[in-house]
Amino acid sequence: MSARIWMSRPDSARAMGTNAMKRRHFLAGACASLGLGSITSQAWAAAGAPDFITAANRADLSSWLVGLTRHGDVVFDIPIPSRGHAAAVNPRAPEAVAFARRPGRFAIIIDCAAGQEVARLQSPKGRHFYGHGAFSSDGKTLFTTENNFDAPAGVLGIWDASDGYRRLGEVPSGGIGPHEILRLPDGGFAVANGGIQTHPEMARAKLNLPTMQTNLTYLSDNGTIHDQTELTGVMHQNSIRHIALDDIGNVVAALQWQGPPTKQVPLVLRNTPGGQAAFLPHPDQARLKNYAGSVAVCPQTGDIAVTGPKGSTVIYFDADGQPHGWAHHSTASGVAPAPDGGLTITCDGGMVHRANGVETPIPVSPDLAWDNHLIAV
Amino acid sequence: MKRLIPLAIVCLMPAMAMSQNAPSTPDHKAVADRVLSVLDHQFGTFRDHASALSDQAALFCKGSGTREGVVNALADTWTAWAPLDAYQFGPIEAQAAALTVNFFPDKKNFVGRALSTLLKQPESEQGDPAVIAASSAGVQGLPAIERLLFEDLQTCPALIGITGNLARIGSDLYTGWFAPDGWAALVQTAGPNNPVYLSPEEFTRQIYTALGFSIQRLRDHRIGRPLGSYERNFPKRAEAWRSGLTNEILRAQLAGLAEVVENGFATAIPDASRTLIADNVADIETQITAIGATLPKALDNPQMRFRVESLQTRLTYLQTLLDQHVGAHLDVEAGFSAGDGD
Repeated sequence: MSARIWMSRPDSARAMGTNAMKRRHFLAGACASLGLGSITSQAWAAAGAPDFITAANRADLSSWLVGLTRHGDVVFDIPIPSRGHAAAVNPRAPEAVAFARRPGRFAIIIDCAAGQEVARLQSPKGRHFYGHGAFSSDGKTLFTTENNFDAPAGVLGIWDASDGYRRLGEVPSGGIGPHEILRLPDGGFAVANGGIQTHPEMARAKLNLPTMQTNLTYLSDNGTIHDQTELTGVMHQNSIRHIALDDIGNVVAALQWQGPPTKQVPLVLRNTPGGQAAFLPHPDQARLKNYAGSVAVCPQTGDIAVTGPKGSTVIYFDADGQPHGWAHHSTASGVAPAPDGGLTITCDGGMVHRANGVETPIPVSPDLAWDNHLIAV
Repeated sequence: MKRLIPLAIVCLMPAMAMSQNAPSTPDHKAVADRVLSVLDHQFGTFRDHASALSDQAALFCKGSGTREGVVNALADTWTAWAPLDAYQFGPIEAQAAALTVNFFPDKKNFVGRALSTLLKQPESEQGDPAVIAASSAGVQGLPAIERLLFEDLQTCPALIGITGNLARIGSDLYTGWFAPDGWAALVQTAGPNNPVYLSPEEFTRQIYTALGFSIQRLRDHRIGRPLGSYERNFPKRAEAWRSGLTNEILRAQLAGLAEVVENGFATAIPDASRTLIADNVADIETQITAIGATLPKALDNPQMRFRVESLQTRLTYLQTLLDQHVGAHLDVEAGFSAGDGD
């Protein structure tokens, strides 16, 4: 494992001249390694052909996993026990896992074609889920980010999706507070270890802010840690929570500042596995209220969108990481690549489609309030 | 049968309370100002008692004070902390004081292990508050001080180091709230440009949520953990069982809750609702006294155990009252939003 420590902000525009070539190569490799295509699209057709799934709540405080089309049609809604956070989609089947919001202990496996729950995972004693998970490339193994809260330590739970989601074991996540996990094109994983110690008996209190350490950890497909990027110095309190993959293989991270709230800090980070990390400052980052929610990268242009549900704002960057405007969208939360190009964002009242800098509102059933993330199917 | 009466009152009271003298829309700015006054008092009290504890410890370790003086100061400090335990945001969160001041519950004996490690260090380090501040959270707070005083351990100079650090924490927490650029200033400047509170209502909701957490801590942790089952109880899981302060801490936490409702929320809720909360808190405090022993010692006595169990019922009922007679009037009932964060 090579530990690389972030010391100062390098030139975020460095080496961008070769990005276009890298991007094309990367996209070809990514499609090949993920093996996506007709298998999943045919299977998802039976589930109403959703383009996205997301967790949602209704005014009666009931919680749901919802399938949405790009046009805002709700093609399925399946009840879940309490608030969800994110979901993971099996790359080989029309199957989604809805994860409980921290400190929830359930994850529900849903056959979206049948609209039925096929399995319910319960985190082991002394563990709770963090709301995210990722399948292996072959869809046979599910990795879940979990809190070993009495230790305290972050772990990745490993579940056998090919055997009724039997728990196989767990491995260290590389830090405290593992939040989003993302499968990489090479079959390995990136994990955002937010660094914040929490305990289910202490409600949602953050227990270690003065000493927290946050990092991006890279693991092989069997869960072995081989690389880490840690934020140090004053940035040790800039919690790395949500991540996306850009089109040249960088991990782009949405950060949540836990230091003095009046201090202005960048809330987006881009990290090249095995390479450099760079913060991406934005002149309107203060509108996010120190809380960057979801992040996604436009597959066509490389543009980056970072949502801020607390600040009801989305900030944008171009493929070179340069600020590219912002937009006000009430409780802007989830963001994901749209199937017909551009990005789709969930917010109050429905969704917004953004392509080539043009935003188009997409109303959705008004009785649904989204929970944090939008997952492209 | 007795439980039916309060439940019936709960059902009837909202309509009664609505007709009383609370404004239809709370003035959340005024609520914030009043709550801050309460917090000023509560955090100031903790700061002062932690400082006095440090002074008593220094005198005791020099041979010019008494152990009783230290024990009494510990009791004052712990009961001053009890209401603050619920405010796990702002300076307490920023300074990680929830664990450093009171590592409870301590399922894995972090306090004992950290104290053991400390007592193996040179005495100059044991007595240095700066060394303690850089040590494990388990060794920094009230439970560690209690062990030094009530277990067969070398008390000094670690007592000086730990109490000195605790006095520093008490001062830092107060400053964190009430210095010119402290958390209270953030509360008072709530609005669209505020990095934390986009409206004064958000602080009201935060405090209201904290009171609910306070009840949960009382019912589930401070009472529920030692209570266990009828077949097996766990007296040593009670908070402060060594010093016998368990019941006093329960009462102090309840009093702190009542103070926020009475003096903080005050006229934002009807007089009848405030009276209802105050009366129920007083009843629970009386019920704690009526157990007849400290909670850990009551668990093996069937009659006393029943009194402890009934406290949990009363606390659940208090939460219901809070929801219906405080939350409803403050217009801060829970809703789901991605803006809740995670």
